[in-house]
Amino acid sequence: MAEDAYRASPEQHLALEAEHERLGARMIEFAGWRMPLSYGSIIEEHMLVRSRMGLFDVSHMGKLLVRGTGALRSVQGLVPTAIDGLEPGQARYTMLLTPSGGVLDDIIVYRREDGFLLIVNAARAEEDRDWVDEHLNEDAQLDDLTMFASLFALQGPLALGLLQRLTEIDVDSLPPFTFASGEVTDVEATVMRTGYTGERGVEILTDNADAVELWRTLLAEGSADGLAPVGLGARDTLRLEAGLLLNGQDMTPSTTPFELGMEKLLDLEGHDFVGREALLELRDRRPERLLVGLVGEGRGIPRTGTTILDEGRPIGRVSSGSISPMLGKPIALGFVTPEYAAAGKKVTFQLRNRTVAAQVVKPPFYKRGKTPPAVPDSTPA
Amino acid sequence: MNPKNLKYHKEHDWARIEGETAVFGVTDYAQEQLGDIVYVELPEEGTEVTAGSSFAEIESVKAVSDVYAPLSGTIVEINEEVVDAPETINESPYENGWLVKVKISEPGEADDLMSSDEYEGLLAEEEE
Repeated sequence: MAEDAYRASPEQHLALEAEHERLGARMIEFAGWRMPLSYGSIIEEHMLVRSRMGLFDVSHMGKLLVRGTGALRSVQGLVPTAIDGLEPGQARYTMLLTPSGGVLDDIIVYRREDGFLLIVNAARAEEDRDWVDEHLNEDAQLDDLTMFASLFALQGPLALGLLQRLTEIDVDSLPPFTFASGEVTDVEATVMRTGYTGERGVEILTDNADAVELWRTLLAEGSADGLAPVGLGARDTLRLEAGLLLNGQDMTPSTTPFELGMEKLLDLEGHDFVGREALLELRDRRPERLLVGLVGEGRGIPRTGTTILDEGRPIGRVSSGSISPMLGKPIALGFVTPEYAAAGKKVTFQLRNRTVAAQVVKPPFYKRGKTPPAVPDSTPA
Repeated sequence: MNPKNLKYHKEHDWARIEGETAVFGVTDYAQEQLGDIVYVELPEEGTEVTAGSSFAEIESVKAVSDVYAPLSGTIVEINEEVVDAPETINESPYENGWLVKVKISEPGEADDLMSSDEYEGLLAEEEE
């Protein structure tokens, strides 16, 4: 895509890049950033987050702050979800849409005292910034904090307990999708009950100047409980296992919220927003395809682009695929024609030189507390 | 790091020649590059393999890779342990993580393979 190449930014650098290298990370380029893929084993990092906790550097995420008396109207006009009821300290998952109702990005809007912080996907950060900027009300201003702030994710069943030992913030009083600011270790930070793993946890936003100290202190204080750094590789397998979508793969500008089963995000009657008219037209039409979960019954990972077949006939395409470390089976998200979008439907994946049986399921593939981890039979001795 | 008693193929596979048979596997560099290996597809016993051609498939969380035969021959044994526990290849690429045993059909092909020193030279070049 020539346009993307033209817009490609120079390589961007995490405040912690040297720290990741010191920790032995394998670094890859992702969305113009040098990012840690893994510090050893992706599967071990995945299981650590499910069983104890892991620390991620996700500072590549775009961080856009909209302020001013026109901030609410500006952001509200860009997202299909009602955000006028958000109080400072509350957050909401939503999307940016094209005028034709396609998905530009999925984002989280954090209502702060001083405005709205939009955390957007790294691969979309510059485009989203320009998009928001073009749609700003005249009484609103946009600041791009991406290069100035670091964002860590502390995720896993032990994450909140560790955090509480290190902060004055009352972590117990923070339900999911809320946030608060205060000192974490000795550093000013914002603690947000959001994440991308399906586990309990937080994301922590801090100035780049404090990022190394915060990262090191968290790792040092958490090490006795098993805390270790986790890279982008496990971030992807964790989010997929939790049934969370990845923009650019599971949603694109040619995907509508209806195809994603995300009608619940849409406030079609309540307010005007970019894409609303198109969605009103699409609302009563049956989508041509729907996003489903798929579990492979055989060996082999159905990677992005894998054709989904019914008795040799193509009926869909995989948008994200991996192995589920918790289930020990291949899992995927994919788009299928609507008659196949029902749990239990039998299909096949067309892998390189063979087909593998699969079954349609309703994501998530793994839900905290619901699917018991695969453990050996505990026969009483 | 790479055992001296093995012969190496440029696609990061090794052969341990034991008279008329040889054991094949992938190198430590290969398993390191692949990361966590989750599936292994091996041919059945009796399958003929050709030097330089793909005879097996190894899949990690990140990617699926062909494994190339260092020598030509006929598969006489496959390592069921790596099929059941693919991570064995990560843990022990030169010992427990072997893939297949082959009856060699073209013994002269061994001359085309690299020594461990030559293979380490190749790795040094690839690192650059």
